[in-house]
Amino acid sequence: MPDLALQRLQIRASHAYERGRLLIAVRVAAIVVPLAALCARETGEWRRCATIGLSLLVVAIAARWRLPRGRRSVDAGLLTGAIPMTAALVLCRFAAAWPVEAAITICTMAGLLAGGMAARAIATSTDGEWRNWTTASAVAGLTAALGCIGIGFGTAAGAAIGVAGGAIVAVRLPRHV
Amino acid sequence: MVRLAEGHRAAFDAVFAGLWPELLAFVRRAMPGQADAEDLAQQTLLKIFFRISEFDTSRDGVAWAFGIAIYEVRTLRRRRQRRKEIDVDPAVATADGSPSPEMQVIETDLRRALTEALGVLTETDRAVLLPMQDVVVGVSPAAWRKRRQRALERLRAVWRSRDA
Repeated sequence: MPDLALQRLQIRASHAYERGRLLIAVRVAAIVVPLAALCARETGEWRRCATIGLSLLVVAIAARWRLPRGRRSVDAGLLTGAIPMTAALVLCRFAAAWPVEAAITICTMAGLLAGGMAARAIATSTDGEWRNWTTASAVAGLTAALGCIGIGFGTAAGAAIGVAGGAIVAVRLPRHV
Repeated sequence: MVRLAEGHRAAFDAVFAGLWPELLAFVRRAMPGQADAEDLAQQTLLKIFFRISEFDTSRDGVAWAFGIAIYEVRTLRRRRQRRKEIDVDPAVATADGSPSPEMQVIETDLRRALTEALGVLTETDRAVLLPMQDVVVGVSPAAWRKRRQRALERLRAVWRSRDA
């Protein structure tokens, strides 16, 4: 096979590889879109939920497509971010009359837990890179904010800060702890 | 291959350089004397790279890749076989679209056999089955359908007994 044809084949194979990865990355929409719709329905904040949901979708697709082991990081972030999101949705539905401070505290604590778990899941693995746990934390933070935004910006910010704080603490801990 | 499946693009060149010659040799062995073996190998290679992110990294990468190659070779062979069957069947039609002599003989035989089978049936059954027969006056459409169904069943029975 001539060199030129081989080079052309290599380029086509590279494009096929990128298309395949992008297709798999886009499948995350099957989780993110229903999550955002659920949050919007429960909180009634359609515009805010759409904005955060779109940001989450973009981050998740980009990470799953471009980042090595990005799929694992995004999955870990989505799973752990579901904790504060669920807490916020439960608050919205059953304890709407709670004071804002209490809601912020609950969301921040749940975010702290989620961030810790997400970062720990990545950091304790043999190839845990900073990019991976940062991605997992970002996805967890956005997922948490998706649920908390219905209560208010403060709650969402609290959850996001909680996630970041939890992630930093978890990464700083020795691996065997 | 595991690293490429995880998304390490630096591993692309090594996987390509290692996989392509082996794949080409495999497809050429699987399809000896075929001019388009290289086309199939290229097509298979693109499919492998397209699907490599779905590859389960706990499995053997080479076996997975050659599994795809085997599937592609089989598919092409089956397609060719089917095409060949269609191309070489002389009994189907002539070039101008009219029935071939073989088809005409078969049709004549079938007509004769059908006439004989109808001859065994009763006059009423024939009247119901043969075309251009109007619905019998005084019979409801439902009863007409039932008669027709029964006559067809009897014709089938006669036909089967002929074949037997």
